[in-house]
Amino acid sequence: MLISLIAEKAEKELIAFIEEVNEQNAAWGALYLRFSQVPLFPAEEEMIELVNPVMKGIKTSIFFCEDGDLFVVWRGMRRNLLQQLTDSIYEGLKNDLAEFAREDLFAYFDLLAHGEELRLICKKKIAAVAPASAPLGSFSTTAAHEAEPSKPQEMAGGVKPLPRRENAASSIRTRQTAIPEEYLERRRLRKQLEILVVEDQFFSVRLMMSILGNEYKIYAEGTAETALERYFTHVPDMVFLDIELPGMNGHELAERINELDPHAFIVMVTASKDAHDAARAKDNRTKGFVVKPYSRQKILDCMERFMNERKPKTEEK
Amino acid sequence: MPVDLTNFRDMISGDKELEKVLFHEFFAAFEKGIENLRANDGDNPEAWRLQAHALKGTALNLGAQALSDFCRKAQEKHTAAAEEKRRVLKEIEQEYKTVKEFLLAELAGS
Repeated sequence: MLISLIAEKAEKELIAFIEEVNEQNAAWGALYLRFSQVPLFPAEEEMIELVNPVMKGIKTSIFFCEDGDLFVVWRGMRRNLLQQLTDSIYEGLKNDLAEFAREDLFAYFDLLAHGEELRLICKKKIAAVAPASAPLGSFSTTAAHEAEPSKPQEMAGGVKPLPRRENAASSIRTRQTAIPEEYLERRRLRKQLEILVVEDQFFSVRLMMSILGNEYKIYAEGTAETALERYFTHVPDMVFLDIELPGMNGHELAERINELDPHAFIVMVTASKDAHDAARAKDNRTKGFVVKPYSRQKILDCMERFMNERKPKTEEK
Repeated sequence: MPVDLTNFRDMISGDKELEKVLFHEFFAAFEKGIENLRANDGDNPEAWRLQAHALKGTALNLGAQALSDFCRKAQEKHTAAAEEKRRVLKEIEQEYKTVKEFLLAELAGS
């Protein structure tokens, strides 16, 4: 069993690989996984877990592109592997892929027949990321069970670790500067308002849900990191955001959300009467500042403000 | 009265079942929170501050004003010596006991 990971300069490596395959007239299949089209992309170890059981004994390489896309390339032309491979990957990641049609995410290439097409895809990717790319190292490892994917930075000098699933929020930060237009369009078209409540105290979340839950769809997250991920994937209409959170605080999260989505409607919620908090919330262009204890009226006032602000925008369209 | 439930009951629209669930959630949050404060009264002032702040918000949302005042005091003393913190923690524990008895009596009466 041999699996190679190409985690940096993957596109260049793949171009070189295609050329080598073509020169040798060797048969190789390639699965193109367009994870740049979904909010999260899998970490190396996750891909190994999903690919490993299917590619038993077959020489396989996984190329991790800068934009999150992957290529799984294997020796031979066993097309029956393709369905098994896509099934394994889709099933393994389905929570993150559930909203996406699988045919949009997977494409198959015969490296001999479609080498040129694949090379063009790689070149396009290189052109897209080139200005932002720093000089990078690369690493590869053989035999998944021998690898230490949790510590890729220790594998070779100069390695820049890939963004990791468990650190999804920071992956999004490095990859995304704005919410994709199709997600925003989905928000514009939705019938029921969706609200994200970011609060680490379940008691307070339940109170908020009891006020809003009958009328609106509520998502609750207990940390800024998971909330950012949720914001990106669900693009809620508004956010009630607690300031004191473990890890990244509510102000920092508000800044991040505003960078991603200039039309975000954020209401800060806090048990603090600190004037600095109110000033920072104002600097962050948040739309409201609720001091605990909540009251039904305070929350409904925020909803009314949201509706009023939204109305003219809707009429403009 | 250690707790004014007027606002809380308005928020949950007088739902007695939810009230019961939330009282028990309140007990769980405080008991866990007090345990965390006890564990962090020495070398982790930020963990102490965050925990005290979280309890303050929960107490405020329930309507337990005196309990939230003790939590605020604990939050402000996050850099104080361990002995001082333990004194504040004792006050929180005593007030929490009063609040819990009150809420249990409410549950028994409903």
